[in-house]
Amino acid sequence: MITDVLPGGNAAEKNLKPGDVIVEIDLEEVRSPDDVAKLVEKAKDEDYRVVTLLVFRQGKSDFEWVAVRLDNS
Amino acid sequence: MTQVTIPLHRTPPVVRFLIAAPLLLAVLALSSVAQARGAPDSFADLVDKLLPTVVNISTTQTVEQGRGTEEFEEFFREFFERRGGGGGGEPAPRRRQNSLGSGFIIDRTGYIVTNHHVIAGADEISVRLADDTTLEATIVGSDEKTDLALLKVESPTPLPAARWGQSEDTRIGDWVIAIGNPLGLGGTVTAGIVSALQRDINAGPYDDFIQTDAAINKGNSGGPMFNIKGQVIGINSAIFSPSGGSIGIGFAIPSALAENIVLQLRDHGAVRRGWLGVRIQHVTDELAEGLRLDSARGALVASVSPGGPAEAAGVKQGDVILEFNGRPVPKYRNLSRMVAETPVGRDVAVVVWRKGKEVKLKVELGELKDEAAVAALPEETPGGTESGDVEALGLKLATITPELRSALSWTRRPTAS
Repeated sequence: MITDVLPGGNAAEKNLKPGDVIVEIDLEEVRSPDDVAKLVEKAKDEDYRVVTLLVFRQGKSDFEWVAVRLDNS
Repeated sequence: MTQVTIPLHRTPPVVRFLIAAPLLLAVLALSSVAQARGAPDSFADLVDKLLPTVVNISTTQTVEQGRGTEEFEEFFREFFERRGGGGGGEPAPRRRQNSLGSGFIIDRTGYIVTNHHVIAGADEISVRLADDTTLEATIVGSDEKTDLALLKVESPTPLPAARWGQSEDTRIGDWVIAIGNPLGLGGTVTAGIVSALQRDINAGPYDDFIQTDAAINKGNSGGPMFNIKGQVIGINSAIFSPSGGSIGIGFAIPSALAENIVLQLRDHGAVRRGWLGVRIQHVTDELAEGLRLDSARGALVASVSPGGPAEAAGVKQGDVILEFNGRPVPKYRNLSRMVAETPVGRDVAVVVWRKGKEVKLKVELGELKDEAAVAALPEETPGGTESGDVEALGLKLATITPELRSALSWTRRPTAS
């Protein structure tokens, strides 16, 4: 679950909000923040510039796919 | 909506003056964009035949006194300006009793097409034909979502009827003629071109308007937009206007959508819309990249309705619907219309993009009912435990509480694939 969104970050740009839940990344289910970190690293290793998040938006009570650019750091 | 694109480089060396039929001129207008100055000599011969198919519609509505607070009236004034019609001349209606609109005869036995908003809430509807005969009309059916209505008048003699054209063959730049009853001036003919196609102006879920610069004003609502062959390719329904008058930005419901709706209204008195049972979203360039799709197209499945037709057919969350019923889905909004246009109960071929591959599925369409209640999750943010930052995304994360997780699994069907 997202607890904080860094202002000006790539996620903030996509209007992700605290309380939103990341359910999948690149069609793989995530169960913990660790999973998220791993899948993001994996995407980077594979030279992808974008990860696709399946997010459960609590405000809307529905799912939404969000593509977030990865920082090249 | 695939269209053959004709190259525009074959520019004639000189501007030709056309004395011949307007049909030829439409061809010239397309092939000489750089010199597109020529107007047809006259639309008179064409309009002559079309005028008797267009009618004026006036409605009477009893408005209870005391309901119209100023705020309420202001709301309606804005509404009418946005929808571009329904009303007569005055910019600010006050407890309006009458309103004016347009329509056209689509069947010699007296079926008349107009906008839903022209007749919504009316107690009495009267139709004035081009020869000034006035007839009482009854509502056969009316569909708010597409803003279309079908009326019936009883006439002792067959009436002159307009014919449907193919809005799908219409191209930007084609001549169009609008006939209607602007500000109560019945039988007003205006001409222009198709300025744009497939416009979404947030009027409803199936927006797919033909935009024109032909002057359309209040009272034109429900009137036909003809092509140069004299066929109805649209129903003039809305304008954008800061002033309330025409600024050359008018919108017509395409005949491809209207014809099907009108048939359903005639046969069933209501519209039965196909239902797929998915919630879809727009495929942005970034999502296309993330989903390894070659270009931003199709409709991305955000969720699948449990027990719906899509679920039964094996459509999964994360699928991108690329083709529906043998036609490509260029943008997600197109899909709603394509589904709504397809008869209930039909088996439809669907092509989805799933994990880097195209997958072919067959869906038996259900019928769209009023939206089912969505199981709502608690609005408040339950506390998380173990936290972690994912800098690359600009996020701080926590593991979700078991309560929320169980709520989620309840909402979300397993998507084992």
